[in-house]
Amino acid sequence: MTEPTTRTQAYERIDGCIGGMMEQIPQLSNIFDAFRGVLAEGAAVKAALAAVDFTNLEINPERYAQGVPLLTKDRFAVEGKSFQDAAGRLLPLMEKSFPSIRDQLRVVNEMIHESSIQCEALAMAVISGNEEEIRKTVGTRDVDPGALRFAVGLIMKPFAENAAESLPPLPEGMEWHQGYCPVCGSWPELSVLEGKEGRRWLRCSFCGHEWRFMRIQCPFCGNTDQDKLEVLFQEGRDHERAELCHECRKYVVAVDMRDRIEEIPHEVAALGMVYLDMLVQEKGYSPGARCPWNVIERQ
Amino acid sequence: MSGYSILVDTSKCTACRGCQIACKEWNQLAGTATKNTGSYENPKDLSSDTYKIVRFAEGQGANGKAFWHFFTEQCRHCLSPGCMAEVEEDEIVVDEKTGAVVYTPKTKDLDFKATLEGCPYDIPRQDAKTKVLTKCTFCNDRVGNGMLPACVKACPTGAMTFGKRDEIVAAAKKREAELKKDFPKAVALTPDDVRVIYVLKDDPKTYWKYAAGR
Repeated sequence: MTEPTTRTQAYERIDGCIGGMMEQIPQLSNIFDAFRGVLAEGAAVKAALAAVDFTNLEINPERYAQGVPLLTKDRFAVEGKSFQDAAGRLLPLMEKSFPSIRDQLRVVNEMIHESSIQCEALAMAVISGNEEEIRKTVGTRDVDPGALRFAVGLIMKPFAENAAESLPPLPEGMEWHQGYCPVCGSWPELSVLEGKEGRRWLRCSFCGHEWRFMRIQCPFCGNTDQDKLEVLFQEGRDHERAELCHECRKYVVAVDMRDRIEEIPHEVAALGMVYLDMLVQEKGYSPGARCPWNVIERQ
Repeated sequence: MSGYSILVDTSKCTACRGCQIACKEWNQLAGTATKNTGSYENPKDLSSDTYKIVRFAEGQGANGKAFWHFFTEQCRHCLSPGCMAEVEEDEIVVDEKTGAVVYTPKTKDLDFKATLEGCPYDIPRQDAKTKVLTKCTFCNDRVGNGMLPACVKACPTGAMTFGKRDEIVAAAKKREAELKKDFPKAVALTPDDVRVIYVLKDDPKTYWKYAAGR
């Protein structure tokens, strides 16, 4: 697959793909449409970023072999001005797409543009999951932490993916056998089967890095008992599935590309299977990684 | 010319006949009674129940060395299909999206002999009972749903690949050039005229009498 080289190409690649989802599953058009502009613009933001300099990165093969990811979350820190610029492009789209949290998104926008130092601290607090720091930064403002995480997570995404793509190739012989990301340590949002042999790849929910993983193993608890692993799919769309683990009751959505003609951009493949999130969560399973679209509230 | 194409790189084919079986299975075609004729080529010809067969050809090349060629035969899905010469309505249609040449049940009203003569590759066959004409469908039902044709999916060696037409034509020409270094007679068969493009290492006649057309 040819990587997009310009912002326009990057935008159109995602925009076109989500447009296709809307045609294929019109019942979920409102969800796809809500994320369409934000994710496409996010791809355009990423296409314009310069590679992150990792020349001083020290790779410790022993720690890596023991399951320690290459980067700590602070290596994903973003310079305040760049973050503000990205927020300036993405937040108005979010406000338009998610009217129920529009007021809160406006407050987030104000916070981000108040000072670049505060903005950097806020981004770091969100990506490292530091709830105390989030509360401190929010102060007395009327913002739900969930809305804040949602917005900052989407703004952060292009930067995180760009950082992961900027990493130098690993020395030969370094293998990773964990279900979490070898780059940042986050859980996978997507599983992909591809090639004639059906190699399984997992895609990180934070930095987008992809790594090989065992075909019959739960990424979240390591369970390899095939009687406790199940695949659920909808008739007529059997290349899209949810891989369930009865042991830890978690799942990851998966796409089987073995007999597919067209590539699906992996960045948005999980969004296209949101109908499976609904079905599986109804059965009492929870997503192994939270994505902006897979936290479904029951009414 | 958009749509899709299939590249058949015969230099990678091991004649496993996985494609032949996958075609039968997907299209729900009945098994054919066969007999030992001293060749692995089995059944001996296309029929209304066999849209695709692997031709086996052995002999002695100009260099004095023995050859054993495999040619997985099927409809070429011509860009200007000769088999459509007799068509008056929609007995045979070309799918605008995929480019597949599709025979409809209305082909029972076509003159079989004329249709067969219109095909340079001797592909169409007729169902003796229904009189409907048959051949490879390009797995148009699968392709229309974003899936690879059954034969391409089944091919374990990568001899068959499927993709956008311009990419496959480019790949065929590239492969021809690569093979020419070791096999001067290597050729991509009429890539500008057909959708199923074969790449051969040797004279087409040494593979099958109609490999390059009558």
